[in-house]
Amino acid sequence: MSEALSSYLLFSCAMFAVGLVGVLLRRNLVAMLIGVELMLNAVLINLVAFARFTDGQPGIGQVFALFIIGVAAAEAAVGLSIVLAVHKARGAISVDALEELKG
Amino acid sequence: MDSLPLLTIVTFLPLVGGLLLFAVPKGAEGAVRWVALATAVLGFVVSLPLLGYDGVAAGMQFAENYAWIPTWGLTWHLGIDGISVWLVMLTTFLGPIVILGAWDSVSRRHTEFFFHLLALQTAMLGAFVAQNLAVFYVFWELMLIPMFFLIGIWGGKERLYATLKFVLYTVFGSMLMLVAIFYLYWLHHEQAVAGLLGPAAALSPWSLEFTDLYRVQMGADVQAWLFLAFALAFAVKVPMFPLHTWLPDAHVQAPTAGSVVLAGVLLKMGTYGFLRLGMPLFPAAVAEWAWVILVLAVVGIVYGALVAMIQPDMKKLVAYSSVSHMGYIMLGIFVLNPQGVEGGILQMLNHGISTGALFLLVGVLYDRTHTRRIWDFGGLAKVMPIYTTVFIVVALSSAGLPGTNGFVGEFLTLLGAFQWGHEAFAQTGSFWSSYGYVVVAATGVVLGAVYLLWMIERVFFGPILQSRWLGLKDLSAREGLVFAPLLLMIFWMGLYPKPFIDKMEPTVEAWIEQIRAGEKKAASLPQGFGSPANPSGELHSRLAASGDAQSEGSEGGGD
Amino acid sequence: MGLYLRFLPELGMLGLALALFLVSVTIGGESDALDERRRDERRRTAAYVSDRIGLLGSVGVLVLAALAIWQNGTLFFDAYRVGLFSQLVKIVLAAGLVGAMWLARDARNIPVRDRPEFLLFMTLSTLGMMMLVSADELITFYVVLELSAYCLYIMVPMASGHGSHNEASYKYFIYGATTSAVSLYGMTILYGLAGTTSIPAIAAALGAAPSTLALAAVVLAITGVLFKLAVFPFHFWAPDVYQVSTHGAAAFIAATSKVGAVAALLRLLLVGADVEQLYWVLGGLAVLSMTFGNLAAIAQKDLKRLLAYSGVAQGGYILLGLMGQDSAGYTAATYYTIGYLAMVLLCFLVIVEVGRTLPESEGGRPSNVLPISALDGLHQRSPVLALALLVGLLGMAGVPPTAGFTGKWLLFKAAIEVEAFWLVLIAGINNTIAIYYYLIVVKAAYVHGAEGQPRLEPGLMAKMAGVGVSLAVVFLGVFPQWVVPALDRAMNALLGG
Repeated sequence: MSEALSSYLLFSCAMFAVGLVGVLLRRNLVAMLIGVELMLNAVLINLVAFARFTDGQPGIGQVFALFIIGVAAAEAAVGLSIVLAVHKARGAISVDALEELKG
Repeated sequence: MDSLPLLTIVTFLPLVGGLLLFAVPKGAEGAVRWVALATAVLGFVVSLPLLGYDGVAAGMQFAENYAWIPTWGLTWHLGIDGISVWLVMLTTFLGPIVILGAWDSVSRRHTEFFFHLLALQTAMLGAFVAQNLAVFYVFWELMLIPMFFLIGIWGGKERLYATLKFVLYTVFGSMLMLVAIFYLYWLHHEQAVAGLLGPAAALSPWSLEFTDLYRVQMGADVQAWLFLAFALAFAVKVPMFPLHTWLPDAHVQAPTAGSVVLAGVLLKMGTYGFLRLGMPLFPAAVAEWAWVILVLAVVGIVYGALVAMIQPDMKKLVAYSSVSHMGYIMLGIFVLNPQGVEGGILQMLNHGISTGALFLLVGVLYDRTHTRRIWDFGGLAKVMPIYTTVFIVVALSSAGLPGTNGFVGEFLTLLGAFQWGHEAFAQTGSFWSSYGYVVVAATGVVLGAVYLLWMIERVFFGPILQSRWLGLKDLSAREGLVFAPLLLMIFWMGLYPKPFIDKMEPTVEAWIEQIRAGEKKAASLPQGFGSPANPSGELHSRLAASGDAQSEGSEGGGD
Repeated sequence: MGLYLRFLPELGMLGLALALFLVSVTIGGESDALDERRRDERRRTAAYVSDRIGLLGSVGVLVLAALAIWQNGTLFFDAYRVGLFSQLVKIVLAAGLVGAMWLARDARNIPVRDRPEFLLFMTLSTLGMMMLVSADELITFYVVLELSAYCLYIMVPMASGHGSHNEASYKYFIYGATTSAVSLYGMTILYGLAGTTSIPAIAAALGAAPSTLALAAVVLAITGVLFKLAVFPFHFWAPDVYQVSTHGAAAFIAATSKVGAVAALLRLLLVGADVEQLYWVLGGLAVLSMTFGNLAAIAQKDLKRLLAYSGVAQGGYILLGLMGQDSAGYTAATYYTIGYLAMVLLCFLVIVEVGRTLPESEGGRPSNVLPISALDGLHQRSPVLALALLVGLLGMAGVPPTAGFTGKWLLFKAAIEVEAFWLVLIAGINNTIAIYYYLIVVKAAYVHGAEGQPRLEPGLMAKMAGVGVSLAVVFLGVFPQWVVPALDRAMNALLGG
């Protein structure tokens, strides 16, 4: 594993962790969504780095990345629309506004 | 083999009749009862040819063996031997009596009530005739559903607690048994593949036939663990002290018919399980741990009798007397000599007839008075002479009076226990660990007489305490019809038990022989033989042969 | 022609989705030229038409899936593998869709305006699952996984009535997106290790890779599917989602999507075919899932929440079959899942029918909750439904002679074959716990009286469905040899190639 690759991987790993922590700990719905986006971006860096530095099928990593970007757009759309619905119903976008169901 | 699948017919006839009940138009409760009764009578008649069981030739007769899923070892294999023939007959015999006994006492949901009774009968018969462990287990579990409903819907005030307690106790036991079944299943496969069980087994290594599983080889320690799992399942059902606590609750809450089936047949399932599976599968474990069972059995005898003495409720008294009586059966079976085992089996039949009859009698009184408290009564002999006579006869048979069935069973059991004690004394020289069992068990006979006579005295003699009992009706013709066959059996088995014993004797002797042989064979095997780490004598032979280093699984073992 | 035949069930689903879409934009389309009354009328027509199209169309897809059963081969440059396994699962999925469509018909809890879209999303989600089963390549797998998942996320908030559907749907969505990101992360590592995204090629490459990293990658990669299966610790969305979504949507999520999840897991686990430590991971998850699900289910008062927790436990049982990664276990898991599908649909049939009789709440809008006490006296109100519920619950409790018993039998047998004795013991004890809460529900239906309960008048179709599916559950249980050999062959083909 080349040094360049491992530095990319380390970076993406850290970014992924930041995103995961954000999803799990933040109370703001939009911030949680951003956490997921961070995780997806970490994944993208992984893919592109692997595609660049390892000799697998050419181009496949980039293609995968493009697909993920597409899906991520859909994800943001769905997520934001639910956030909007929550805001309409409750006037707030914090998880605390939603503690109605028992676990 | 008879070309007619008689056992299948006997087994499923009640269920088919039960389903027919739903075809009876609404509002015709009378017709429902008649259809149910006709089904049960027909079931008894159809089972009569089984009495043609040839007692001289031991072994399975009327066998049926149809392939179901042969590659997994699942076959529809039924058969009866000299032991199960009597239990099947007991079940079909009690069937019509129970239905006739419940004739008027069910006030609502008649169709379902009789359906559950008949379905229960099918499940019990299936468990008695099964010769494949999967078939046995299916019927064993099926028994729970109708019983759950019988107690849960038509029971007394605390019925939900009682029925859930009953089901959960039983299911817990049978789940442990299921795991042990799977272990045996796997072990048979391993040993068959390794060639330990002969060429025929190697061709179809997955098998759950009783006869195949008897041949699985296990060291004494492996047997002990599996025996524990099976024994727990059966001991709950028997029920053995200290797992008996569900029984009084279930009996007190159950409707009369439910109690009769429960005491009459269902409890026999536990002792039958020991006879058919627990002991022949794990003979070495039996040899090593029989003393535990024997101790629990005699403790149960005395404990049941003592607790019965202080019961104010007639039904609870009979329920605790069941605990005591089932102790005799366990004692008889586990002393492992012909007298004891035959006594135990006879006692199973006796208990079914006498205790079943007692529950019916208590039910008759309860239907009329809506109370079962002993001190509410007194002097009933004056108003209900026939009832009193029947009650006294049945109670005395339950207490083991000579001339009744109870005497023969208890006598043989105690004789067997005495012989066992005699042999044990010669070996150990210790009085209490040899004759002690029979001495304690014999005191149970005395205690049994005490609590039954006590109840009879309080209820039937002395002054009539409450004027409302003055107008009580004696037994009706229908009730007479219920008790006549029971009384007949009480005296027949008491005065001339020979035909019963003759038919079971060769089977019992072969059975004891089988256990003794199995014990010797297991003694020749090293400890740990048959454990997960060493299923067929060669460590990981199968895994090594296939070059598969999947050894991590073998550490999570069952011992 | 061969290509179209191989893609026949999916094409059918696409056609159905298109038809539903057209209904929604033509008849149900918004038009300013219409007054309120006319618009309402057209919406109602659209809902009616789409209900019928959905039901008939899904039956049609079932037929197409059955026609395509013997297809074999690959499509789309080896990204898509069609074989006996995928085709069998597609039939089951189509059957599940028929069931869910039927349960969702005339759902009063979904606003009329949204009904065509609701059915459209259900169809698209099933399409995603169907493709998931055939996906032999990680990109395809990921895209169709998201296709099926996003449709579900949208179906949940479509319920009107219960105010908290927003919470459940956001929870469902955000954790679904998170787990799929985690699973993507695992997939990228797999790609990095193997240099390819083809599942068989990765499996071949992993055989030689450093196994700790490979194990971590595979475990991460399967989390997305474990989430859909609602296995502990990825289960927390299930109770809320079941409770707040309409009964039809909950039935779809509880039944059909579970089949898709199990099949997808089987497919994805192929990447770790040589990773032995998965045995411990899957076994551990099985234990946690069974134990947690059963213990949590005991305390539930709402039938749908109870089913959700029991579903967590059932996911654990299914994992028992997967942990050995052999064809016997896979067969057992698939067989059990098929039986489970039928049993859950039976329960939801009762939920839907009983739900129709519940009083309206929450500002005049129908409520989506169904307390167990609403089942009181079901045996009097509708013996057929009570029977269906009994068969469904006893099946899940593993009581013979249902498919639930035979399925557990197979699962235990498979687990014993890979020497997981302790797991079988734990599963056995768990089953005892499970019987307790199933019996609580049975008790309400059979033991309690019907006093004060609304009348229940299931239609002829509902009765026939109840009896038919009950018979199927028993039939499948008594004669597993009608299904299991085919599954066995399918699994051997799946694992062999």
